[in-house]
Amino acid sequence: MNNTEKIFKQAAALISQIFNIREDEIRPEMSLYDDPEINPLDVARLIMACEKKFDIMIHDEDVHTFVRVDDCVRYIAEALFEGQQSISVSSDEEREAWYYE
Amino acid sequence: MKEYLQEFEQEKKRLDTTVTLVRLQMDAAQQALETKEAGILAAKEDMPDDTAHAVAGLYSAHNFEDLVELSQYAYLVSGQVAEHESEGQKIRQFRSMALTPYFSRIDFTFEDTQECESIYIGRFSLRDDASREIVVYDWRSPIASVFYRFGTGKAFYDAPGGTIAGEVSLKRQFEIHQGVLDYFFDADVQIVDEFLRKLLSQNAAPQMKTIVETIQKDQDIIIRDSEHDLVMVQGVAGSGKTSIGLHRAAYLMYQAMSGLASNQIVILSPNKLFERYISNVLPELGEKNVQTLVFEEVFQRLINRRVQSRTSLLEHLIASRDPSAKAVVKSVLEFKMSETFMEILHRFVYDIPRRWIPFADAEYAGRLVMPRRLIQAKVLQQEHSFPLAVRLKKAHMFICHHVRKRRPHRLETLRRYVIAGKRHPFDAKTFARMVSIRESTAMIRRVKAYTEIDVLALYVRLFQDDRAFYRLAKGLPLPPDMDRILAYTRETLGAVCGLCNLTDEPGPKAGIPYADAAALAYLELIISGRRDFADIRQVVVDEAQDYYPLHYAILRVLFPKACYTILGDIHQSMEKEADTALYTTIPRVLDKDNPVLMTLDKSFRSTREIIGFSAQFLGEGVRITSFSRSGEAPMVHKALDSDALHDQMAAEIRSCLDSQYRSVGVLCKTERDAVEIYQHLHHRIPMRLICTDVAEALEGVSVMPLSMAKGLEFDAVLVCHVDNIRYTSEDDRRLLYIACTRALHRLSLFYAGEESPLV
Repeated sequence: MNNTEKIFKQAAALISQIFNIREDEIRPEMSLYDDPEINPLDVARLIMACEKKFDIMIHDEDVHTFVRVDDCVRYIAEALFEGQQSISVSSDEEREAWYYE
Repeated sequence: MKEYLQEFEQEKKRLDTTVTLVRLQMDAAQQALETKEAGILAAKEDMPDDTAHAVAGLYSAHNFEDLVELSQYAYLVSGQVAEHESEGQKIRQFRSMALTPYFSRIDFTFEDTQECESIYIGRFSLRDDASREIVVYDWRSPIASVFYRFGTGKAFYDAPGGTIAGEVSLKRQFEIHQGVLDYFFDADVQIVDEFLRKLLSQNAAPQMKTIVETIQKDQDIIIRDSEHDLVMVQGVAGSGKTSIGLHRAAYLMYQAMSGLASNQIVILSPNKLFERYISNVLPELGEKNVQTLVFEEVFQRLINRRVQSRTSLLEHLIASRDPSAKAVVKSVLEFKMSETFMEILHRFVYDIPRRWIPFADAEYAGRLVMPRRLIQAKVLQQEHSFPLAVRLKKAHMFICHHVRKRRPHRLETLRRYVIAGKRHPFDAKTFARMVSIRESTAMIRRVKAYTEIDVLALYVRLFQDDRAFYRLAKGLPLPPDMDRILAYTRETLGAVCGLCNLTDEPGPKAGIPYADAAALAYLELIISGRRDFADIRQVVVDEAQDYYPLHYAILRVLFPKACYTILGDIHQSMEKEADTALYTTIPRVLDKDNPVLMTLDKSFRSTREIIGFSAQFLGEGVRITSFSRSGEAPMVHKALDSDALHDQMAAEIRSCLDSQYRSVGVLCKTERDAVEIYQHLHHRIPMRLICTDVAEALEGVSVMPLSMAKGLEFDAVLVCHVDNIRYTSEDDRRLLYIACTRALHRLSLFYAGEESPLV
């Protein structure tokens, strides 16, 4: 299993928990954001859960690009890669921000 | 005669040893291939099963070590696969060599050593590994040029180490079939005319063939030219332009093999039918690394929208009966593809960040992050060699950076609001985050309105504002009917964009008009700085007279490092008048400082009679000579009405087929005429209608509009409806020239009513 698949699996676990969907029903092309059924509060929950799980930062202005599950997975993969590239990209105040407990 | 028989025996022996050697090497290569296959399979088996072969996980931080480990295996496998492929290529070459290992021999005495060597020339080279001798020389090797350029007597050739002189004492050409020598003959001239005549008198093949056996001296000079970065060839119909272009590509690839240069080639062909027609030549010469493109495909790829095809534009222009409507379309096309419009587009791109982008203050959480003037200054201040889209992206990142710095504080504020509101006491953090996501999304959408460029929308706006357009065009020579061009563009673009907004899939006929698509593609290239084909080193452009300055400007940006071979005939342009100025425009637009123009005025395709007949459609002072091969005189048939016309045509087609001609072209001025002829005749004789951009083999009887027939050839050609309604203008004269020069052996013209004044 490659990295994207691993991230997808971990993200799917979070989605299934938050959105109350069976994990094996979640597909990469599933709509995340533009679906009227989806509660925006759940999206915020998912974003926070992903940040915690992968130890990354998801910028709020990027969230609207997560139209499908795989957009989100790609974003996480890139964030992980960038995090690896230069640890000190985020400023101290960002890392000490209150929502990183 | 006795001498000939003796020589024949010797040549036969020599051929047999060569063929045996080819077979031996082929078997060895086959065996090597099989062991390699086993090796690849074994290497693949060694690869850990749970690793993925895709690069999708490349960005992983966790899996970096896995990736390193995998790459060691993958490298081994991919190396072996590449070897395997080249091995396969070699075997294909050996297979072709076993049938015809070589086609000619020259005996060359080197001036400095006075040694005489028999040089056999074939499609590929062959070396005897035991004696380290070259048994057959590749036709592209330096010494082979002696065969193409000289008769017996003093000769020289350019080798990498300098010019080598010597003397040719024998020139011999072989006819070898299936590995058996049929006959040979010696001659002291360049290429034996008899040999060429025999080849030319054959029927046209459904696909273009290689001409390595019969390359002429002036053709050889063009093929082997490596001094110039831009080679332009003006050649009359049937002079072998396309063949030369393709052989030159093969030659340059052969040369590049020894160097480090990447040897990617792109061929631009006028349509899909032609693309298929020439598709066999380069693989037959052993080159696979070739991409064939039609310009519309390039446009489509760049602007990501449906584009009107050139054939449909031509059909529109040629079929139009309304002269004023035709004139507008023509001047719109001419203007938008001109250097003047290119300059306007350049000024437009310079102007976009200054006047056309609605920069706005960036605000976040009710506070000003960056004022509008500062954002604009950020864009204008950057290095101007960066494409505009890149500069805008940087400004975008700059705004994001500032917003992100304020976010922790903002989130804290939001959380306090939520708690104070007492409506979500347990979920305050999540709720605050949701609000933050919402406001950030709204904020970034406002920013994107000016940091992301919609090229089509900007282009449409350029034509909506006459004043702005004239301001950009200040000082440039505009056509007299500029206002009409602007009005026409507003109308057509409005229609297209209206359609695009309604549905994602516009109807089959809709699409961005050809000229606008070209302009949009050019804009997209200079705004985004895309480099889709930056590694291409060789570009071959066929039917160059049909392209406009803007086409060449697009090529310049697309293939910045390439050398060009450009082939055309100014007498075969379809909708515009071309003259020799074309060959000064091309180097200027392509920005090449070392161009050369070569002219070919000998036609090899048609019989002397057909060329003589076609020459009447050319203007004064144009020279076209024919290779001395005679045939039937062209016929002009008159019919009383259209029924009689169809009867006469059916009779002619039958007679052509009875004469064992393999391909018969029935050429009509427009697609509508072609459909009509097809409907009347296809019950009587099996035939094919070729209209849109289909790619079919040209065998049997094909009915097609003239715009599709360009560059093709047929054993016999029937030109339909040569009457005083359809063929009257100067444009029509060129169409008749194109139609008549498609014929190899037999040509006939048909009309009902009054004959065209041009015939």
